[in-house]
Amino acid sequence: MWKILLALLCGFFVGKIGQNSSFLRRVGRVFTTGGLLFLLFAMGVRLGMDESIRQEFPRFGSLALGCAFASGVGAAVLANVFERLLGRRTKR
Amino acid sequence: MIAIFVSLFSGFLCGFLHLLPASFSWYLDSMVDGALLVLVFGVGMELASNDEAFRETKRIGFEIFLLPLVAMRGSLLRALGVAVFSSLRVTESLSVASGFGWYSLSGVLLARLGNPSLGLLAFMTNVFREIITLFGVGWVYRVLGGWAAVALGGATSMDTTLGLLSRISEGRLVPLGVTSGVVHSLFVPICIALFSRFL
Repeated sequence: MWKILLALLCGFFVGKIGQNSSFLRRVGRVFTTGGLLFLLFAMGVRLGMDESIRQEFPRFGSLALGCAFASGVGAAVLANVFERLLGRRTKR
Repeated sequence: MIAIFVSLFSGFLCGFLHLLPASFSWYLDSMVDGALLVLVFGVGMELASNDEAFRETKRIGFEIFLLPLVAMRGSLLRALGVAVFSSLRVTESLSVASGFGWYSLSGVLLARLGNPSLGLLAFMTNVFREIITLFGVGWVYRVLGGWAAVALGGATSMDTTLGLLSRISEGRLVPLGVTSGVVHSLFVPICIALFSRFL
């Protein structure tokens, strides 16, 4: 976790140094998009290669999807209720 | 959105059909670590030129730390509901949901503390949660707002989904996402250890 926070901090300082540089802003965007797409690709590779996941998918797939959906929705809905209660709707 | 789907699907096909050289899978973990750092570095660079993000953080104040606690509570409450309508016991359902999207850690921990099947279920559940977040975060942001979008990602809001959060909110949600991700990540091993004691 500390590596991630350190990378964020380093990126922030580099960004601050070249705050007015449109080139650096573009580089930041390329890093973000490229990093994300590679992470997704790697995640797909892992899932595709994992024999146990493919074998157990018929047994666990729908249950896992249900759990994932329920926990995600639960978090989002309660966060929304909390945001409304505090009256701090994030500007969109 | 299309790029996300294409990346994930082409990765799956490459892994499934063994299209990549063996050396790729040997170095996969290191490459993932590297890509994650590059992504977060890029988010940091984008954040530096965005004063709005800091104004937003100032406006939210101390409650920035309450959001992840509320989100975790929401996840666990819904997990209780899953236990009612499925074959899972309450403690199993809570343990699985305690991954908060961190699939690698939750799968390994539950396989060790609970049983291998539960570890696999936790892994798949949290992989699905990340995929749901990647495809649904934009919609949730438009319909339910920024806090809900951050909460949806759980522990991933400080890494994989941070780039998307930054993109959809023009950087405003980055501090909130990082804080939420860190707090979620700290609670993953604690919650899993706690619930798995009652398995």
